[in-house]
Amino acid sequence: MKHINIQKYSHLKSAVATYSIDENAVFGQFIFVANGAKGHLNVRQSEGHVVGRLHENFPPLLARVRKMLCGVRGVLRARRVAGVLCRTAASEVGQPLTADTVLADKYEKKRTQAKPFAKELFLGRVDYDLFAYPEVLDPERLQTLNEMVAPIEKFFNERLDSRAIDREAKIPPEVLNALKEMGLFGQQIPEEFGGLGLNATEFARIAEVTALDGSVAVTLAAHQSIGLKGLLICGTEEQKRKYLPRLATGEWVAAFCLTEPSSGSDAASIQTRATLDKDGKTWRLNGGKIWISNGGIADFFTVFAKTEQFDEIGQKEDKVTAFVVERGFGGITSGKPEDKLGIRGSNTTEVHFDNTPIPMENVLGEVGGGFKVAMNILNSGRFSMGSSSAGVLKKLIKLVTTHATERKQFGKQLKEFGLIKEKVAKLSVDVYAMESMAYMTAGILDLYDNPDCAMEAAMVKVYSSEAAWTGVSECLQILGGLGYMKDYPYERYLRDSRIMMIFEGTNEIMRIFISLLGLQHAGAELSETVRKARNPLLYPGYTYRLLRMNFRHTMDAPKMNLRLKGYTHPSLEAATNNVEYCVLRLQYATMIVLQRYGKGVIDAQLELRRVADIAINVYAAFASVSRASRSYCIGLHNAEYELVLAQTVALKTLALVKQYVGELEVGPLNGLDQAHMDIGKKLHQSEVILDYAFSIKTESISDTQDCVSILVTALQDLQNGINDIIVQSQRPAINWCKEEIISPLNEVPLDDPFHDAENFVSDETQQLDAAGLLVHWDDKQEATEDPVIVIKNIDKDAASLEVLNSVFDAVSEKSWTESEPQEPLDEVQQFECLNCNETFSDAGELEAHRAKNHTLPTACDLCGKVSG
Amino acid sequence: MLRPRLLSGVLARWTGGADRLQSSRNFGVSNFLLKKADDSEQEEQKQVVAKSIFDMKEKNKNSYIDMVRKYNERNVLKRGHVEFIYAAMKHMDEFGVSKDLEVYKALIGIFPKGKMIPRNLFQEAFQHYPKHQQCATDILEKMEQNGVIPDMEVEVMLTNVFGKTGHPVRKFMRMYYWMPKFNNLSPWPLPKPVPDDPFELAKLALQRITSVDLLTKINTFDSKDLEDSLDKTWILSAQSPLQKEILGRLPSDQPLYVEGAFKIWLRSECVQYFVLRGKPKPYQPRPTMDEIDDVSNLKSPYIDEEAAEKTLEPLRTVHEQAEGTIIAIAATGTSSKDSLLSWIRFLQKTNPPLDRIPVLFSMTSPFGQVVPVNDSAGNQGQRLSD
Repeated sequence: MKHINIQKYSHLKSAVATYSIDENAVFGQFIFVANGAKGHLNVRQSEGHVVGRLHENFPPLLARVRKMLCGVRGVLRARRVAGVLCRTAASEVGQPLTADTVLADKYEKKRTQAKPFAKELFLGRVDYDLFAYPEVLDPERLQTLNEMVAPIEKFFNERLDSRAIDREAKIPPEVLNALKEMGLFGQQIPEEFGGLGLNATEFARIAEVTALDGSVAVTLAAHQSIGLKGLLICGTEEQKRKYLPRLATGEWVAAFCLTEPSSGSDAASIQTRATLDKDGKTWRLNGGKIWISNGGIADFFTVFAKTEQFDEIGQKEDKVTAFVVERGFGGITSGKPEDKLGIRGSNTTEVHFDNTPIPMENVLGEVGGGFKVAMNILNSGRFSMGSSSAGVLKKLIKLVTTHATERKQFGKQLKEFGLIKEKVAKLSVDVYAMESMAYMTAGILDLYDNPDCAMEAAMVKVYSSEAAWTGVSECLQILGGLGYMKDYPYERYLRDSRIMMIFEGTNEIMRIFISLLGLQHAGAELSETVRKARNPLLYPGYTYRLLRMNFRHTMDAPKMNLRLKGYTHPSLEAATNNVEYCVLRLQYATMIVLQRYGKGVIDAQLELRRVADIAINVYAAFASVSRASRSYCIGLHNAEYELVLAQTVALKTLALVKQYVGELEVGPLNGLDQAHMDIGKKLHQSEVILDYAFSIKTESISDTQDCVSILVTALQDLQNGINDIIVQSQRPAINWCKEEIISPLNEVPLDDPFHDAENFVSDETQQLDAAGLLVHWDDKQEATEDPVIVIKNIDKDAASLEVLNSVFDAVSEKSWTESEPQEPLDEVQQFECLNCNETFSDAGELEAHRAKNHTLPTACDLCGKVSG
Repeated sequence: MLRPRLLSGVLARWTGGADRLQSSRNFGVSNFLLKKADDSEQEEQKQVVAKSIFDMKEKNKNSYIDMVRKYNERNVLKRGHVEFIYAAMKHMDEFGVSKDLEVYKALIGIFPKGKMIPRNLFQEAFQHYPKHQQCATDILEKMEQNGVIPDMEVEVMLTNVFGKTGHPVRKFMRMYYWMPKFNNLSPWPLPKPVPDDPFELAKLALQRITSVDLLTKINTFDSKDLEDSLDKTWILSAQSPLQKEILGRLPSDQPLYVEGAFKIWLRSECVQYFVLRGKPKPYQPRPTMDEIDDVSNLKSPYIDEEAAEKTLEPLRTVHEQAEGTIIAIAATGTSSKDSLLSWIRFLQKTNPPLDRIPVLFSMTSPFGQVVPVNDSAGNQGQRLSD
């Protein structure tokens, strides 16, 4: 026990230190008393540094005591005092005075997350803590990271022949070995198992570099982001000890086997099956997986299969279970590597399991809990995609700006043209947003203990994959023809980046996932409000209040009550206000869809997509603004440029949110949505548009051919079991059909006593009618160049096919010349009987004819009554 | 209750304004506590500390910190510590530690803790222990001048000595806010510290100047490669393809001028550079308002061949300034006239038009007096080579 010289720390009344020193470590506890309050500080030494942590177990009047203790309010000061005390301890025990204990405390401790960040956005709430952009790495660790990144970057830029990898569709073994030597196969595996033990932020930074080659990036990601992630998340200690060391060195490569021919996004529908042997100790795995990255080179598989379980009431049900499978277990065969559009160097194969024995201890997580495991793995693996695509885009921007500086057109450098400037600006704004999102998400993962971060990761994935695709495409546009050539790397980047919108959950699924998670979270809290809002007549008082509350929202001027602008630098006030507006509008959008659809919201996909897009962009703006504010406050290099970027992200988000909230307010009445649904339905469900649109009028012979080819295709389709047909052809043919077949059929009721059916309705029409086919002329199409005939409800029986055949035969025999305007003949007055088409040269003759033959009553024009 | 700081403001207004409160030396009320510390007196105070303390064989950071530690150990009562701090500050450059935060922390650490924290409102309002506060402020001032950014620990240390409202703490806060912002403000970041080698310095300077045209290439020549050059030295020459193109268009009857030496500062280092320039390009007459208002005949090089031919006359580039058309810039090891002559001879190899265009060496600098190049250049060369 030793007294510290407290003269130095005037606000402390006394301080007592107890500590022990052995060869390797200092452990100690300082108890200090200030103004009657007592606190203690635990100190330990690690790696030559003394690290202390203040235990804030003060008596109840916590704030007051702290104020007395430190002279100022706030926990930070208390921590700083702890820092100073640690320094003293270090000097008294003769250890180097290097520990920056304040930082040690700030960076080492993981906090518990109070509320999930992104989900709370749906309720219009913001985590103010995160608005000060998370700072995860202490200066020392940051430097270590930079030192680690430099050689990797050099390797990827200089020693890697990405073009050859793409051409040969194989990563050469020496490249893989070099990657293994750099430790890139065990980035997130803890150091005790031989990995690098990187946290999420460091992992994301490395991903930025490894993404420079898509094939390598995917190989690495399949290995550690998903392949072995299961072990890290829910593996037993024994499993970890057995497999992780070999995986960390890259001696074994891992693969993640979930996708099957019948189950892509729908993970619960897999068919692969694992059955327990009679001895109850071994599982037998049977089934096939497709599109498995690393499938051909992996020795370690995380496999998902259905197992038979008994639920609570003792009924059999199939549940997904995750297994850890070694290639050495036997019965595993891989197909040949798939030939792909992009990431060609990565190894993608089928993997078949034929009675593969798996020991009991190789079940990952719980038996029957595999679905959760799969979702956890996929959710935690996505966040690094943001930094990867940012890495690629940053490199491309560098190449493209060089080109735009060197290339001259019209006597000016390309970079001076407004359209090029706009493209480059949009690119860098996107890069800034995706970087900010990715590192904020990584920060949440690192700062908090067991954080709820799946939604943020999904947002990063959607935003960055789409921005990468459009970004790379815009780069190609700037490069012009150069970008299209295989001699240059640009087109490879385009091909490689396409996969990001597809794998690890397609963006469509991700959007639904994002908005449903958010609505689920909001729905739990808003359920009562929504119930009342959906039944306004039962709750008139509440409805009135709701209308009043939402009045400002309906006027597009929500009350800015989050006070966000106090949390950023004043230079960013406008941008911060925009973010606040967007958060509030997201809450309003949530309320709109819940109120409109109730529980049915889960099927309103178009609305869900809008809500998700709003949320994603709000997150992007939030992350960008908070990052820029931090950069500007601490004075990073180019911080002013960051301000502009963040302001632009906020403006872009504002425009998008305004548009989408406007569309949500209109709802399903939105004409475009309805049209999309109709067209989609026609295309996908029951009808086929046979599009033979000729823009130039053709000769009669080809008209006939045209018609014949229509019919041939139509008949093929009929035989293939398609029920309805739309025939689209050029006007003369269609006009004939209309006049000869359809009009009589539809417009003239056959039982009309005043029309002679025999005279008006062609044989074909009758046949069609007899066959029960509904043929009609699509009026909407009439105005367009190429009219359409719709034939519906075709029964697939032979009889109706025969009928159609004959109709089509009749159609094809005609020739479809547009009737030329005929030369006006010399006018010879003729008198025609309207009923029987006989002509007479004299009006008197006609009168006589009508009196003789047609004395039947005629219908009155006005009232339709029949009279003499 | 009135908060102390508020009251101090009121008091300051009574006694002559907040400005005066900042500076203890002019502050009337405290004057009876502080003998007026003018420069001569300060000099005397510093002499109180024996010079021998700073006479040691090895002058580096370790010995400096050792010295401070020894002072702390020997003077438990901290007698004369302000004088010691001033003396120690004076010797900082000698020990080469004036840019080291840890050393400043060691100096601040000498102040006794707790004793000087104001305990009532009046002490807080009237600079408590003015001499000590001034001393700490001077330490911070020196840090500021040397570009040393304080960290949060400095704040804790100062708060422990002077309380949270002490002048040094307030100065710290201003420094802590502004210095990081200024630290990275320059769009042309320089390595820390800037290199000693004049060649490297000159290269950095030229890179900074020529960043207006990103295609600029900086070439290194050695005048040894030329026959009958007098000065054997290096020559850095910066020219972009665009400048070469402009040179080709210049008429032969108008001479080019070599002008200099101009100065550019890289932190505390100065580099001299020279410019090869031609006559300024006359500005095109601006279109009249009538011409701009007329939209009846829009022509653009994007769609009309005719218009394209018209615009073949190049647009005004960044090198064609109102003062002159800049063809190239250079820095040489000696900045002598002969080295500049060598530079032009090197340029002739890559710029054939220079054979027909006369080059005049005008040794006038628009920024100062007319100085013979030999003198100033000689000095500069010496200084740089030192």
